[in-house]
Amino acid sequence: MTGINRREALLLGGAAVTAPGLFSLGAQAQGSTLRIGVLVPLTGVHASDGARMLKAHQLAAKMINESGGLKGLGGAKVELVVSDIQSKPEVSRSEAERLISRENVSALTGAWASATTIPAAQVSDRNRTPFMITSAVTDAITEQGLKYVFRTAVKAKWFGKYVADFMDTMKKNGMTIDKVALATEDGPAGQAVHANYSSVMPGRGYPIIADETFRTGSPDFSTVATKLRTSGATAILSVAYADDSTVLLRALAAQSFRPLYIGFGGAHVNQTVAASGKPAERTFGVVEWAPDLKKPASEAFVKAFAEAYPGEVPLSNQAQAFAATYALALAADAAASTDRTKIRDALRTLRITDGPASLLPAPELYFDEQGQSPATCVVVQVIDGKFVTVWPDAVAAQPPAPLQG
Amino acid sequence: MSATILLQALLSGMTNGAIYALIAVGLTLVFGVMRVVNFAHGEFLMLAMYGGYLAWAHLGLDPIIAVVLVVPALLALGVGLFETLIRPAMRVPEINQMAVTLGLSLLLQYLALMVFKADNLLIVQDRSTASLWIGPVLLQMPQAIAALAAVLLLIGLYIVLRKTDFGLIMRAVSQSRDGAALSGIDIGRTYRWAMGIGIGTLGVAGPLMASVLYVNPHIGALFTLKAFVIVIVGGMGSFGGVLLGALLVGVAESVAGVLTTASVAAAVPFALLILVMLLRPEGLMPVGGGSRA
Repeated sequence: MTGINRREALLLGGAAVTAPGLFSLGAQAQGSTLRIGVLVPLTGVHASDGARMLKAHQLAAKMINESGGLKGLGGAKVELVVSDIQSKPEVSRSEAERLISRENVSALTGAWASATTIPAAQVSDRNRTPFMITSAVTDAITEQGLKYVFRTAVKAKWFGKYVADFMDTMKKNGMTIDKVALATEDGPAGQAVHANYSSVMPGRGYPIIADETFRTGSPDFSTVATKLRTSGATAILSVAYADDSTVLLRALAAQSFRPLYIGFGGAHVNQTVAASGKPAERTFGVVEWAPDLKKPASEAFVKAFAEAYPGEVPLSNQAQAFAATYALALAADAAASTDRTKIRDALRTLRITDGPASLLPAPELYFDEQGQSPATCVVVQVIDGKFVTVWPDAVAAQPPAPLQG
Repeated sequence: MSATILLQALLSGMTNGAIYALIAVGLTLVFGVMRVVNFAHGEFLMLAMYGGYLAWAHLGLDPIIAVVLVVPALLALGVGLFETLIRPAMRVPEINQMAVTLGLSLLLQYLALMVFKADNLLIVQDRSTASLWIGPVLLQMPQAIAALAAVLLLIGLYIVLRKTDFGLIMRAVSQSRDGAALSGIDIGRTYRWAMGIGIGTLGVAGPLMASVLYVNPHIGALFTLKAFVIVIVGGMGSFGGVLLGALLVGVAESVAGVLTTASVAAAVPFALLILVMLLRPEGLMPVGGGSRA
């Protein structure tokens, strides 16, 4: 038994050593392959998120390859080298190193949460390998002067601005919004957004007159709802997971208190919140992308996604992963090279206004000298039990519906 | 902070306390009679909540009516649990019993994850957002119904334990297992019923709680720890202690939420637990009147 195993191991080892050489020889003959390393958590606490993200990366690669590959590289195909980062920052760091040094990828993309993205960003910058970040929102990532780091996601601190812009629009439409109440969960996500809202809102003419925090998994929100109601606020900005959103919205409805309500991010824009019926009806959520966005590339993406993965509707972070993969391929195409630094330089001058990669709500996808894209958000509203994009105007499926319907 | 808000916090705290008592009473009954610590108590609540949800979603039953179906189901689960796992576990050291119930708790969570998936399920009724106003403060209707059910159930259990032969047997076994056995009481049968009723009470709590909150495979964990705090604060195995402990925990966390931050309020029940353990380790209303031997 052992003998066979050893022989097998030797054979496999030999194949592993020789195969990449053979492969790259063959590949050069017909124009090279663009190897992109994908860092995704496929096990651990973020396993379900990682699996979702991977589907979007793979769909992008499939679409590029099926449409004839990269013209600038003689029709080269995109090859994804997928790596499971196990939802752990230290694994993300070592896998980034392995993909760069052993797998010889031209670029990296990923790596879901901020905690797993930051170490990989440092590794790729040190190794002069472009890293296209999909979904991490921590501000600092594109503020530290890293030369090889790019991001399709929004900065956390931009959310407050978009929400204020949206409230300006609603005010212009005749709604009274003068005092704002915050209702945020007491975890890191809730408190990061809380800090952002607190610093932005007063300067935009929306004084914060009530500030409630709550614990995730609270069994009762009636006291929080009473405090929000008696504060005299005309708008509530919340950060809560879907569970608590439901219970909070019910508590507000029980008190017949229905001000302008704006929930935060993918945790709120979740079908189980919309399914709570009357309490959620006509409430809003701010999010980075929505599947009903009125934009040709976005509509094509939703259609292609449903064909590739029957019955599935993509979420906001999957749209970002799709755009990230496409942007890397387009940069390599423009550079007509798989060289890491040439791809980096091409990313700096890339400007995407149409085609599959233009699915995000911002009118143009490009990367500034810090690698940050001008990503924006959309505002969705629950209308007849479904989330519908209502703002900004350019991509809205329909205008905002009145709060009392 | 206004008087209205403080009043609201008091009322909400008392309502929550009553609901906590409804969940904790089965735990203390099982411990009082059998000396078994059931870490899977919250998972049986989770199953009862799914029971209430399924009855509403597939049979169109109001959660109040679903109680009639879910109670016998949970009672049967309790008896089944005793016969399959607890009866053999009672012959081994207590630490092994705890390992058994802890393992069962994880097993039930993962089975629920496989069967029902992780998404929240909601019972949506007109009543979900109805409320009772009492002066300037209010009770949400689903909470009010659950609290009322808690009070009725506690009164019912009290009468059974105090006024019937069945209750006398339970109390006898609880006081002295060997003494009760010598008087001709069938210990195994008493245990089976104690476990059945202890888990069966969750059949009342489950459907009503499902209409207050939402159901997911991990929701039991929200209540297990609190139920343990209540049982220990009140005095393990003590019936009155559960009510006192639950009201104390409910009001303390609710009022603390108004006076301080949410993070501090979440720690209040555990601070209360430590205080009680230091000052009155037998609990506030221990079984047998609190005389320390």
